[in-house]
Amino acid sequence: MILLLPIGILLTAALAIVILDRIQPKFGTSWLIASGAAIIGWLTIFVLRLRLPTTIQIISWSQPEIPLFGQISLLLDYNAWPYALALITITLAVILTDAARTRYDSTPLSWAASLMITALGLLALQSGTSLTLMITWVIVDILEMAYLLRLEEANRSYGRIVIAYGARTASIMMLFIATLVGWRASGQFDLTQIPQQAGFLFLLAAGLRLGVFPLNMPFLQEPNLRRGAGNIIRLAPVASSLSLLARLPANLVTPSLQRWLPYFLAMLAAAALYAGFRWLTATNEIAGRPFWIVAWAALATTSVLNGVPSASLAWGIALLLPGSLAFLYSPRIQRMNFLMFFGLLGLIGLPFTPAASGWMGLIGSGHTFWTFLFLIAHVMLILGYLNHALRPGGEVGALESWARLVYPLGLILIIQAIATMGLIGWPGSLTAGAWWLGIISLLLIIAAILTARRLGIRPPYLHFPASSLLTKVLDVILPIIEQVLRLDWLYQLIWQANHLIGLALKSFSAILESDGGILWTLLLLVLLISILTGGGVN
Amino acid sequence: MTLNTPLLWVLFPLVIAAIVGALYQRKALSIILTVITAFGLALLAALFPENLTLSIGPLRLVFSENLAILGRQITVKYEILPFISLIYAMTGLWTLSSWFPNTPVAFRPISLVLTALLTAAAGVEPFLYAAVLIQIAILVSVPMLSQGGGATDRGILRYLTLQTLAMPLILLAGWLLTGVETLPADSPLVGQSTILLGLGFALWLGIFPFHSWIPMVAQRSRPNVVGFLVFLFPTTILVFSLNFFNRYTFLRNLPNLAETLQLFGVVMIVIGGLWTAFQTDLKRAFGFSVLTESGFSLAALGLISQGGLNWLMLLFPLRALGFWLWSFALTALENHAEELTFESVRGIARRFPILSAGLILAQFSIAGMPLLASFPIKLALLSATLNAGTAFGVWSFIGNLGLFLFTLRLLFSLLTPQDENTFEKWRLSEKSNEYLPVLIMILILVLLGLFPNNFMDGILNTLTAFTQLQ
Amino acid sequence: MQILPTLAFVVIIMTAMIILIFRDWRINAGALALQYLAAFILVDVSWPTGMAVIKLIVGWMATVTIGFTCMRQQKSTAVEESPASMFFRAVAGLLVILVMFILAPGVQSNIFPGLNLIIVQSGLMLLGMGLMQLGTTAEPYLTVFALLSLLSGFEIIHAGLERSSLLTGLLVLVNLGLALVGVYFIGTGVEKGTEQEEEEVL
Repeated sequence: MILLLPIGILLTAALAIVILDRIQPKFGTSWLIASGAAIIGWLTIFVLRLRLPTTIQIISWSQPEIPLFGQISLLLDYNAWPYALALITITLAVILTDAARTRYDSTPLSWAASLMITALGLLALQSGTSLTLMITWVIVDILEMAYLLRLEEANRSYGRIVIAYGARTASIMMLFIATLVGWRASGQFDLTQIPQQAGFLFLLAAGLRLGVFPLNMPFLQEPNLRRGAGNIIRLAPVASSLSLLARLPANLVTPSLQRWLPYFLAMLAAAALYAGFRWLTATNEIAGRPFWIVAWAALATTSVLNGVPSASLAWGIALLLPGSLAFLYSPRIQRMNFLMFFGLLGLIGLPFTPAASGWMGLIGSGHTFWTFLFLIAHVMLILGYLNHALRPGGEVGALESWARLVYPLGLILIIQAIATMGLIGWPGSLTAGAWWLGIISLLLIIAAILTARRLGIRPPYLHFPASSLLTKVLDVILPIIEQVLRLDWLYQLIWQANHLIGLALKSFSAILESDGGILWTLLLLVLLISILTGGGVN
Repeated sequence: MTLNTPLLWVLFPLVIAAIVGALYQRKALSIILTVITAFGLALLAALFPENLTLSIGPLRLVFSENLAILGRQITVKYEILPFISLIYAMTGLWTLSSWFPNTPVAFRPISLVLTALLTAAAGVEPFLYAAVLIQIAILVSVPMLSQGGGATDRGILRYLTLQTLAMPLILLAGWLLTGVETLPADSPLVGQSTILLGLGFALWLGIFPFHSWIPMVAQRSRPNVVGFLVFLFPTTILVFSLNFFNRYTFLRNLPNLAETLQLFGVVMIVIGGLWTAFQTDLKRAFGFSVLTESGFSLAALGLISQGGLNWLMLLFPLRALGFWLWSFALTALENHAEELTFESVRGIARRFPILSAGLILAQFSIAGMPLLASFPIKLALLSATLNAGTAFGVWSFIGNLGLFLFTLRLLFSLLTPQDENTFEKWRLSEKSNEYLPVLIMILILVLLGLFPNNFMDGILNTLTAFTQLQ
Repeated sequence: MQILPTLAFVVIIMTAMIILIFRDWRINAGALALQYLAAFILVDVSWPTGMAVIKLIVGWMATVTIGFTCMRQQKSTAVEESPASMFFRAVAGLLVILVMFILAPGVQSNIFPGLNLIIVQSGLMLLGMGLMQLGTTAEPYLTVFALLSLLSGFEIIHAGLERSSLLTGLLVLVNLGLALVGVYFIGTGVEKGTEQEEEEVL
């Protein structure tokens, strides 16, 4: 039952905040409730590290009298615990750093939303069975869509919201069929025993949800999600998908899929490179957030395809924690800029850093051309992080006295979690890994920085002059690539096909429903009988 | 004092229906009377003691299961009471939704008559007479489908035609099988009776190509009336069909029958899903989704040896609730929109968010979305279908996606603002008697989706009436 | 004594063709009434006259009910029908007759070996022509006429197979119910001709 404790606390706190806000709005009290609940949840997750793996069965549908299958259960193991810690840390950091954003978008209701979404996110990433995962994904998707639709920009971006929801629904359907295939292969199973025959379908489900496999990026220009609750909304669903990736079997690529592997890797490499570049050149970290997510998710997915699903943990944690450090660092305070460098610890991939264990996932059966491309993408991600971390414009505004304490504390918590991951995150997290790739990446980063200086591109931020040839070329190419990757062309194609097929079906219906429809019905019946008898059906 | 169960569940509702019919101008009273009767009979059926004896104070009422009429019998057995309870409860629920304007006044008395007739059909001996009782029910149902005024709807004519064609086929099949419970496999009667029965049931259930009346009727009639019709008739007819499997050994042992039923089931799922996916008329989509549901029922029948009958029975109440919410939301929206097409309902979600949400969730529930009511059974059924044959399972799954696709397209339309440059705020324009039932039903669907075992075992007791199918 | 049944069979074919070809309700009602008389003669072969006459009475009641309703609705007798469509229906009817003639012996020997061939032929003829009628019209009263014809064809065959009072009673209910439904349709429908007249006035 201890698994339910953090979830229950967060939900209860969210409810309490909502009720308080209705009856007698009190900013301070609400903040205390939110932060208190997040702290208790955070501590509980730490305690749970000592009791891994832990599983509880909540509901079982399998009974002798009623032939239903499946159970709803929670499982916290070494594959889920890092993501659970990351998520609760981010939530706590959001609430703490919101102390500095009282002028902007931090409200009690946004904290309640953050707590609720985190609770659901914890439920999702601790899913013990695919049934549990499907159900939690449904809840998360509906709530996310409802939240986005209430934003003012939804009047123009409703289409994107529905398409994104459609993609999420497709991932749930993929999980549905994966479950059926898995059950047929080996009976009912939990997520630690995903059969090989269903593994690829599970991968597709997670990949669809991450927007990386197959590539779909409906939100290249997001609705204006706030840093606080908006950060949680963006990252909580990602965490549950990443947790699923880590649980996939190592032998997921069956012999029949082996010949397609280069194409999959090519697709992922293209996604990583493009997303990495867009992250590097984004105007700010929030604008670049979708690309940040896709790029790291591509690396995590590649690890699974290369038969090292445990390596996806490293890339997944890099996505969540250092990323959140960048996303939550607002307002920028000059004296605190140095904290961003600690985020590099979770990204750089040097030996005995949290990301070091991830390199084996990019090597797979051997160094290939794809390894090199992923290395380039990694370099771009780091460069982009540096670019955004060192961006000037810090406010030297006055924070309230209590905010001066809790605001940096929130950021420090993330750094602390990064360090924890590196030490005890998962078995094998503290490792030298493929250290040479980490070194190469670092060297490439240094080389890139030096080259940028030489070309007169002023650090600390990357800015191409509008008149430069590179800018002109990018202005032409980037929109085209964006159109392709946003899959607008695919949706148009589907829309046209939908229209044509609809016309054909409508015509057929009109014939059957016309005055002479009975005769047509009889004709179809005769045809059907002749086909069946001709096919040898008795 | 000895009474009989048909008196309670067949004759009594007919009497009440006559009274309700006479009170047609007094809407509230007729609704109350019908609802009380329907729910009361449902509750009685659910709680009726197994020894068929009711003790009310000093009064002791002993019930027999049979009512003799002209040398024949109508039997309402104890074992069938869970099913009777279900159909009367649904009648009551649908009657509650009949307060909407433009619902035909004939709906309330006719709904009781239909339920009573179909109850009689489920228990008449010889059971082949049920074909005539079902035909009478079909004739009785016509006035409630008609909107009144205007040219007669072609859909209703088509419905009447196709359903009437079934009766002679079933009666002829009954004559062929008279006194013959077992037949040798090479007997010509096997083929003849199977074909006649198959055609008869195909006509009744609207199996392709006899399905054309369903979308036609759905398009022109009130959604709540159509919802009631497409729940009650196929459900009762499917239960009636179990009599044939129960009585005739040759049917149970017919080679390839299971595969044929599964094949037709899959075909119906695919056809229904395909047509649903590409609809732009919400009411017609409802009609086409009924085909998909019929397909799932056939597929379940084809999986008798793997416990398919349990899934068949479990689907009934969940489908009923999903159809109810769907038809309720459509009926309510029809009062607020000119038509129920994608074009007409554009942006309506911002003014009627609860009704829109109810509509979307009802469709998702019928489709088998996780968290919602039909998911556990559809999961089990699709799993069994996949185990029976990869092609069957895959195509069933693909066909079932049709309703998902339609729902996403509908969601897009509901959210598309009439004017993209004007920001329309979300507001609750529904009245409480519109949004409260929707919210309650959504909650029920979610609870059933999470805890199917807790509420569903009662309906399975109906299968004890079919001793050979245990 | 096969003369009477044979005569009845011929009458059935003729009346079925008339109902199929013509759209005048008076002609069709008359044909249907005659058809029921022929059906009575055929049912009388298998049943006692006392029971067989029930079919006749019920059939005539149904026909009269619909006929009167048509008359009250002042359905236009000047129905515009192109000769081509009438010719088409005539040819279709002849085709059905031919098919039924071919099928009847096989059906009789395989499915209804105890029945007189005339009975089987008559029943199949009505079934086939009824189906053709249903496939060529959407007019409510014609649809009901077609269904009544179809059911009477079935009852001719069924009379030779089974004799049950309850079933007969129930089938009476069905026939009368069909007639009432027809009345309901006609009563609630609006004449197409009346609509057109109103549009011209406006």
